Amino acid sequence: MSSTTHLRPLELLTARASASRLDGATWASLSLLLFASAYFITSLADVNLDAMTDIGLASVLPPRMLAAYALLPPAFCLALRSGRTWLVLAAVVITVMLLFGVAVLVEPTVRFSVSWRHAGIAQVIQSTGAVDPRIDAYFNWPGFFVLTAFLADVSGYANPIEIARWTPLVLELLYLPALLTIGKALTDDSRMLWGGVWLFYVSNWIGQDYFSPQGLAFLLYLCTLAVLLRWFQYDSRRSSRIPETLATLQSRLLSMASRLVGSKADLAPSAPPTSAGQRITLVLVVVLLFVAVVGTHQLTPIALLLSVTSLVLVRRCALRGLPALLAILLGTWLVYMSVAYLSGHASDVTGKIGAVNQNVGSNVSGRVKGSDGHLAVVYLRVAVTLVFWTLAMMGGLRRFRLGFVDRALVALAMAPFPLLLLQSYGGEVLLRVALFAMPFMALLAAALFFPTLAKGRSRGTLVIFGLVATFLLAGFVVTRYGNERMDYLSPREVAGVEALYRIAPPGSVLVAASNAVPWRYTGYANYKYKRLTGINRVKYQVVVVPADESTSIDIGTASSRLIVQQVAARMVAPNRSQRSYLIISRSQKADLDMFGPWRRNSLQHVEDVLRRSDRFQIVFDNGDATIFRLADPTSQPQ
Amino acid sequence: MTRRLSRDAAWPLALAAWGVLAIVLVFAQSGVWTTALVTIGFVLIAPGAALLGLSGIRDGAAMLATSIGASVGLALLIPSLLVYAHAWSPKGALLILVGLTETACALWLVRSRGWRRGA
Repeated sequence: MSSTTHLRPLELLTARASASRLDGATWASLSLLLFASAYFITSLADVNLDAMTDIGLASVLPPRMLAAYALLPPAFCLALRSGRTWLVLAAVVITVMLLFGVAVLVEPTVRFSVSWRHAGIAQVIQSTGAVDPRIDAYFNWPGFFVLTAFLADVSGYANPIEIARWTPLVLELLYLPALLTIGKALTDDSRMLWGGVWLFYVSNWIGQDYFSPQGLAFLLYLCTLAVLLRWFQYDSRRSSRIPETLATLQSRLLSMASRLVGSKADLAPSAPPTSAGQRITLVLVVVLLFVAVVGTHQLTPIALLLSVTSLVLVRRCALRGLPALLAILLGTWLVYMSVAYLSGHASDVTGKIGAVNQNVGSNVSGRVKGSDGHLAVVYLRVAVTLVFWTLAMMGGLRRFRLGFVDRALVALAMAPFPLLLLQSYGGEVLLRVALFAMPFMALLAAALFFPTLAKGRSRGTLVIFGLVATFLLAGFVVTRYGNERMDYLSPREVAGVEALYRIAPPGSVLVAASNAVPWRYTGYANYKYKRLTGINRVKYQVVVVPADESTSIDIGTASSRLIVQQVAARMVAPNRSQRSYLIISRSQKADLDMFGPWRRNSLQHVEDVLRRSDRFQIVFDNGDATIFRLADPTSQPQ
Repeated sequence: MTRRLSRDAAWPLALAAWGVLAIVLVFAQSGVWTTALVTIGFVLIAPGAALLGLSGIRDGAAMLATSIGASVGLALLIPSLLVYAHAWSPKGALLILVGLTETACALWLVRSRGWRRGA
């Protein structure tokens, strides 16, 4: 018997629900959502950001806000039980707003120092109207920066940082229609669909939705897959025009699958009928989306290519030539538009291809370090991700045992993993793989509780789902905002950086202890930027200053003179006309306390030493940010 | 028939009006918050929605997702083409997007009238 005969469309459920009066579950869910919203809003003013510890925002959330979060899982479960689409949608939207809006609402400035740097790149384009790929790698993939420069300019802002603050919340809400479309294309069961979408949000701690190319590229990734899954299902009645080798590979894969599972059917709700004109429009939209994603981000097009190829291989996408077209577009961009970057970094890009152990190792071991509080956050992130993936695997197995082979769903959940073979992506490839797989893992995880319309209808199932969801949501609050002590940039720090740009003439050398500083949002290419700490740890007691700027200076010495000498040496300006400034700020201290490479409170020690030194002059100090000027920026260390 | 026609006309008229409002706010240099809200909202949804509406695609969340994707794609591509053509003009890019939306909405209206007459 075909699996689809077990299923009734979503509309049947919702029609039945809307025909009846509001029942107890509906009222209870509505009440909980209202209470959660009220608790959340009234507790915003009680968040004391200055008291944050190394476990991040969770350490300063008031009890009423935690209560608001605790009400969300039962509210969602009751909404699901009521069967009313509008209520489930409201529960999801309120969950998104409370989870992703909290930092936006309690922090008066744009969080995350990288957002400020991205705004600076967009500001270069906004002010010059040009893309200079020689400035740095970002300008080789300028799509996001051109878009934000355009949006800031037409909105009347002189700098794109002004539109950056609400980005995480806006992006997460923009993901929702695509997630729903993907879910609806992969299951007829509304509980699996909504449960999957809700699990996606409460598990999405990865935090790539800030003002960044990857946040936008993920939206384009979801939209592309939504279009393909919704409208371009494979039609076996059409004659095959694909190359023979691909056809052979397809049929071998599928025959292997059918041998494994016998005659069990794949679940694929039928695509709505479309005219030839509509299909042409939709193909053009897919091509447009891919061109946009190729010009926006380095990694996402490769993930998308893998996902589309996997859909073609499992016969879930009728556009069988699409992977070839996408590969050509990607190759063309790499060859013609990013040549300035690739010509100098070919070994960085290709050097770790196939070194999966090294790539994964650098992603794991590189992150399991730091203060005790931060380590607790890291371990929780690992645990939550493993639990989430385990739920997904169990969900897939349960569906399989019940006679469903979700080829497309499993293929899309697994498609991003070959990215681990390519490179470590600065120690982030595992995070990105987890993100690209997350929408599909979430649907599989929901399938564990709601495997068919007939099963998982008991109150007990909803209670278990609610408990698991509560665990994931509780984890979210810690894992998502676990770096917030560093990611939060106080208004006084921002004022300090504004003062830095007022004081330092263009061409000056600007130095910070770490990257956690809200700078480069202006004057991106007009200053020489340096850091006291780099990606390379200090391996020796320094007497001479490391020439390599990616190496941290060594402050493990009792000698104040040596510390002054090293800081001054890092600040040396190439010529006499240049000045040199060092800014030390609150979030840099948090960064170094949490992640190293120095011992806790070391930056405060450096600051105290510099305050006493006659080689440095304090030109600005507001408590959260101090700016030092090097008295003679061209003199070499003594 | 009149009621059905006016219902069909509601979406293209609303999208067209949104575009006009965005242009008015941008060129009148009114309050930045209002302008940002109206203009960014328009850019992220309307051009794609107009083009899909013109092609007769109406499918709830799927249409919204595709509209967002197409709109973001166009909003990224058109200014980028202007940058690479050394003709950077944010207002020019907005005018192109609004023009595209207005044209698609006008054709959408004409098509829906034609369908009704033929029905």
